[in-house]
Amino acid sequence: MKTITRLFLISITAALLTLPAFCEEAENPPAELRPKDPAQVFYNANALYEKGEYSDAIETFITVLDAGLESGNLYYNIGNSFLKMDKLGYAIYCYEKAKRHMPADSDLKSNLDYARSLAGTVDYPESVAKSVMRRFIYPMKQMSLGAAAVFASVVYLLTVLISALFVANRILIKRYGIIFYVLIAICIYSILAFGIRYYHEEVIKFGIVVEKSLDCKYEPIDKSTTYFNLPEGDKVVVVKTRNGWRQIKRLDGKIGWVPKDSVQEI
Amino acid sequence: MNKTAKIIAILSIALLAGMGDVCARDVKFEVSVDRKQLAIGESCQVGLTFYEQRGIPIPDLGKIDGFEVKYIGPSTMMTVINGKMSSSLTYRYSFLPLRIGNFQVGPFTFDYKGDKYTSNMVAVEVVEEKRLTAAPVLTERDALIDRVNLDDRIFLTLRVAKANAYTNELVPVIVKLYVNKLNVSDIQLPTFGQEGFSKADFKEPKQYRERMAGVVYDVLEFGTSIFGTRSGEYKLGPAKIKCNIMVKKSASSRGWSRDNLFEDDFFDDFLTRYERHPVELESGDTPLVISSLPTAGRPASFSGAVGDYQFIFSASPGKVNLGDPVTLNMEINGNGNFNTVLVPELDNTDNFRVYDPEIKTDEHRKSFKVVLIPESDKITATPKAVFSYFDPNRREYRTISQGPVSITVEKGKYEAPAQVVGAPLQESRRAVEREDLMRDIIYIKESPGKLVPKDRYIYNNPAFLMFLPLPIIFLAVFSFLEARRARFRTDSAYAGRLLALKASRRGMKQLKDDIRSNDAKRFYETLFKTLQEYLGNRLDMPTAGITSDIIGSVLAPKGVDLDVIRKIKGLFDVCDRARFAFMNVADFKMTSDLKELQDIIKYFERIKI
Repeated sequence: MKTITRLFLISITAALLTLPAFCEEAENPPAELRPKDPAQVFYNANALYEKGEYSDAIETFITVLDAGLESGNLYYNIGNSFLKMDKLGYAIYCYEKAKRHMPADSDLKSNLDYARSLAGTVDYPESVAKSVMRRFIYPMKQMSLGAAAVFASVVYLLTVLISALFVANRILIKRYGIIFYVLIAICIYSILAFGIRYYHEEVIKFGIVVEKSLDCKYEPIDKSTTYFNLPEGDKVVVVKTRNGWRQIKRLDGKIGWVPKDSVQEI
Repeated sequence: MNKTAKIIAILSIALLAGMGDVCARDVKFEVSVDRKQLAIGESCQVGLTFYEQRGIPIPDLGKIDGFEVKYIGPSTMMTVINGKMSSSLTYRYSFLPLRIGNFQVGPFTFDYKGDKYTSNMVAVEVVEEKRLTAAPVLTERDALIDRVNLDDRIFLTLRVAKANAYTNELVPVIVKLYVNKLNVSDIQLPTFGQEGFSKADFKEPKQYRERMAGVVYDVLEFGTSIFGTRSGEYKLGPAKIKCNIMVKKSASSRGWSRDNLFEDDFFDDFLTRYERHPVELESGDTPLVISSLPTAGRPASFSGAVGDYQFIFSASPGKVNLGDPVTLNMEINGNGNFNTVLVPELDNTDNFRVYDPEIKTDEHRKSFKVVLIPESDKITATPKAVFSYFDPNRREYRTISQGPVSITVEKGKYEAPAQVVGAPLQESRRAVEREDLMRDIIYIKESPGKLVPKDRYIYNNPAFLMFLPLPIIFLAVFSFLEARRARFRTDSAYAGRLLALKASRRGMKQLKDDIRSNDAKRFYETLFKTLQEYLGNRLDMPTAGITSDIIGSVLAPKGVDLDVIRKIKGLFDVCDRARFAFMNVADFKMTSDLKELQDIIKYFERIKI
């Protein structure tokens, strides 16, 4: 039996050690996709931005994206370039993309608020329940969704490991039971918070209006009657996408159809 | 209308429709309406039909005089007569009349793939509502309503409270939506041209009824306030509101006449449907002259406030130790533009450290809490506060001075002053002004940060997702094994039962080998040992103590079947004979004894001892 215990503990420890391998696998780009020096491309784009050549800067930044790489700073700088070109919709879209990578960045928050104030739009409003939920998951919102997944997984594995130790030696739970219960609470919290974030960021699809004054129609037909109008930079929920049209829901709950390219999915 | 008349009417309509179809066969492009006479508040359907043509794009009708046009959708029809097939494509539009009169729909001309299509023309008469129905007794008010057009049934007005105002003076603006006997839905907030003005949000609209020229209207009143930021002559408006008019769409528009067939109210309600017609209503514009504030008599402490205000001032606590804070509570209330109300100026703050004010703004009130820390125990009063504003009704500047309030500062025990975050007052006033002027984006990031593969996240990695349940499965298995091990240690009956079963399995395997090798002596030695070990473990007794002699006395009190006891004794006897008397034993005897041992073990596994 002791052998089984040892084997089990070893396997859990091995699992903990292999977790970074998953992260590594997920976070390192395949060699064929990597540009020769993406960082250099980024610096070149920054130099173009400093010269005021915003259009060229965007094109250069986008070569990094085309190579299959992304980062919060990259989206942030593209957003700044679009803002300088007065393309508020695309700027807000890029800032929203950046927010997924660095949700706690104060510069990003400031620029996003500024872009929204210029566009005269607001963030998608939330109900009381969602507001309570947002406060509940606030600590987990300080990291990206990927980092939150890693954190929740590590806590989960640690909880399993500690639980196994307590099962193997019942005296431990009498002495150090508080650690066990705290870990269980953190584990449940982190998994719940990750689940809520996953639902709001991956299951519900948001989009940003990138065209100036967009007509939203009753049906996905050009000649259909315009139901309402959306300003550039407005945040909407993308309900579905079909045949070059997107069905979107406005913040007041009204639903209509817009051409696909006029709303960029975050 | 009697039954016969109804049947004749139906047959006539069918015949006419058939004739129409025959006559139209040679026509390539045709316009049709479902009713040629309609009233304000009703709509008719207009069809543009193309014969023997497919793939024609939706024709754009443009603006049609006297109607609001809305595209409904296409429909196709295929007919086979005497084996000859023909097809038609109809684009349907809904026409909402805007005023009464006689109108022409068409002719329309349409180019497609080099062919020019020209349609026929249809006349439509828009009449007063009551002419279409049986005439009930009209009241005077109804008669008035029936004479008005749609523009008189729903319209928008924009009104400002005054035609002349000063810069930063609040001017109330009222936008009213008048609706008479129409169903209106999805009313959006009004918008209006406001170049040169700042506007507050619209308040919750009021709803009431208003009589105008003898007609009662439902009124939705939206109120807001504006103020001019630059002097000049402006035009405010026009105000615009988007909404949907719900128009009755009766089943008669689908090709048969309700009036002729059913005059019953039940059918009237049952067959009536509503259709949304989006409209954008527009009011007229209104002139507004904005004048600069006069320079004559402008006090030095004037900071731009315009309105009619009162100023309340207090200080607390009245007695403090040196270094402790005193809070000045200053409240400006009244009517005016609170955006322009800044913190009142404090006179002579030399012996105080002054901190940033805490500001709260309500609709008719703005309050400032300023923290002062006395720096000398010789101070006997707070500074005086001065607030100046321009009163647009009296057309003069006014200054209100409040304070000073007496305070006592005691030397006391020196403590570090209370921590109040913020810059001194004079600086903060400048900072507030700067904040409005200098907002811009924060500079780009200098490094790319951690570049990761696009759209590849750990939580979407299948290997990672498959790995996640494994630890919990391991934990479940481990817990089960640990629980079993603990019971094995503490429950001797459970442990004996497990050991007995284990020993019997081992023995059975050996016995089967012995039968195959036809070694009778060894077979019965193993049989004896297996039976002894099994019973010893099962009964929690020393194995060596289990013999044929004591088996009856041990098992009988435990309720074991006498037949089983006899079988056990028999097996022990056979074993003794085979082991010590060297008797010859046939194969089948060994097999049957093995079977008997299995039956005994099965029996003991079933019962509880």
